[in-house]
Amino acid sequence: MASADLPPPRRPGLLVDMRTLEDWWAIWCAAILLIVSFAAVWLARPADLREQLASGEKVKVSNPLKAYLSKPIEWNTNPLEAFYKPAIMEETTDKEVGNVVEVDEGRGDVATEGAPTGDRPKENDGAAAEIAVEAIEIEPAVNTLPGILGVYIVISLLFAFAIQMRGQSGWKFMEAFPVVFVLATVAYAMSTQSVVNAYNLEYALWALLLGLIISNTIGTPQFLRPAMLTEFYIKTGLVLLGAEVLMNRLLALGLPGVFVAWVVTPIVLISTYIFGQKVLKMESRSLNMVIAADMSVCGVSAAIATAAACKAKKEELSLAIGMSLSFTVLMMVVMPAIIKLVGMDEVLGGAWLGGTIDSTGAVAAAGAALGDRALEVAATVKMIQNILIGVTAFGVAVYWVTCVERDPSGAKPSLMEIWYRFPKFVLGFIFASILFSVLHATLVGGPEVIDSVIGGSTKTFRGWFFCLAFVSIGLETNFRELLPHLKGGKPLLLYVCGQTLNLLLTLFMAWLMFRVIFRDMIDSALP
Amino acid sequence: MICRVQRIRETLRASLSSASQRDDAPWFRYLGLVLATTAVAFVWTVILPWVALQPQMANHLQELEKQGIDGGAMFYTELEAMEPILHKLESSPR
Repeated sequence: MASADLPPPRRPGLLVDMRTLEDWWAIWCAAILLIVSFAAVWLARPADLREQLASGEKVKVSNPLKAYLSKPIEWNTNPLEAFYKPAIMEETTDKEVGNVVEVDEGRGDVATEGAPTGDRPKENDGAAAEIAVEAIEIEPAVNTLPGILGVYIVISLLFAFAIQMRGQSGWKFMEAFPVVFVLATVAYAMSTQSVVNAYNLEYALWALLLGLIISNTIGTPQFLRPAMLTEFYIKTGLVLLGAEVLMNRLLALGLPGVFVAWVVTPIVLISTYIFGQKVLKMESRSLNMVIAADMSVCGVSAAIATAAACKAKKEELSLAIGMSLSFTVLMMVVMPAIIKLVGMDEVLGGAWLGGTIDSTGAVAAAGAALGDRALEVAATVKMIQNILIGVTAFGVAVYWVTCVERDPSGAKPSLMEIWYRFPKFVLGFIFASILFSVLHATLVGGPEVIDSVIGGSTKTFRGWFFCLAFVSIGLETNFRELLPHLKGGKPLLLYVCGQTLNLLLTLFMAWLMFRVIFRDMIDSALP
Repeated sequence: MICRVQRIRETLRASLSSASQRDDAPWFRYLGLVLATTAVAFVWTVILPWVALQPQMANHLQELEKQGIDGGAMFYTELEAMEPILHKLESSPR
């Protein structure tokens, strides 16, 4: 019997898919977190929010969940400060006693040196007890452990429930999850060391490293496997990220920002992908796409979204992120130096940085090295590029199911087939983005409420989900699996060629938009 | 000549197999874990704190903190510095 005569395979119904598929459960889990966070903020908003806004006051809407959800914080020399930072005290001696005021700042251990001897009244010499000392707390102690525990409890219960509902053992997940979560916590703490953080060496890298150390030495214990849910963590994190993609911020810099971020970026992405396929003849289309997206859009977050949309292998995502972070460190140091050396205009330099450096934090740090105006332009261009993630993920998912995963006979897939293959979590991502953009624009105090929902809770969960995903990738990866992808240095060549095009095209577009066509508008908006 | 080549081949095969046996030995794997963990702990508890205390680096870190820049931000919502910028842009005339 010819294959053409075979009846089409029976697909499970939509309701069955919604109950069992990982993509749908990623949407449900993220939706629960978004709804609970929004409800908490909405119910806790000030009763007179409308009046406060009308009077032009600066309104702050608090998120009651914020105190129960956190992640390790920045530390300098003591790793324990990622979890607990003592209060910063300021000590002053009493002026009325006649002593010179002495101020010292420090966390907890305040020095008690007196004023210079020459300035001190003779009768007080050596009489430290007579000096009235007052210690004022200028920054309270920060304890992130309860918040980290809160995140652990929420994720473990939510995921155990989801796994149980999908017909697997939620109990086995709960047995393994503490170990994966501890590894993620250590990776997060490693990324918050001040030097590591300043050079944008994100937690994804250290989560991968910790996982790789275990899997390539003693091997990953079997009992951890039920909690190594790379794709589930990534998809849930991405739907949460959708709520942060606020479309109404697209026009923050007007047309110049849109041209630099939304015209150049797709051109570079598509050109790099075509170059990888036609010229370099990359063996893996998905690796080609992930590298093109992380280099042209916005680094790690774009790589995660694109990899999930085109179903890239985990080692391909690791490789793309490793390259992106390495070049980000290089570019954030070299580009401001070049801009200063050639005497480039601050606004143009900022736009160039914002459009080319992969990662948001690195863009801001490089922009700040040039000046305040450069920081403003760079960070805003990057923000506009960040918003492109949703469109990129959607476009890549559509291209993949309609063109790349096409039937070997070359037949065009039917609409039902496209729907069946389409990664459904992308719909959750787009829906969250549209819904939160509408709420941001239409609610009374929308910006304040939505910023509080995101800043106080969903952003924290999203970070943890990505961190857990990278620990899982590390635990599943063998170094030997990475080697074939490095063969011939094609990924590196692809990145370098794509980034060169990006640098040239962005510079030209930034000059044309920010310094020629819209010069007056930009100068009045950013005096 | 052919015998000699065969002998070399066999010797190589034997040495490779003993190397892989050594790789699979539990003590070798645990040693690898201990060494890698020690290296990571050394970098994060000794080297990086030392780098952070160097005057030039300390100034750079202080400057970033003052401007509300989180160098590790993955998305614009993680950037504290973004809030005043957006406020300024949204209230500026177009």
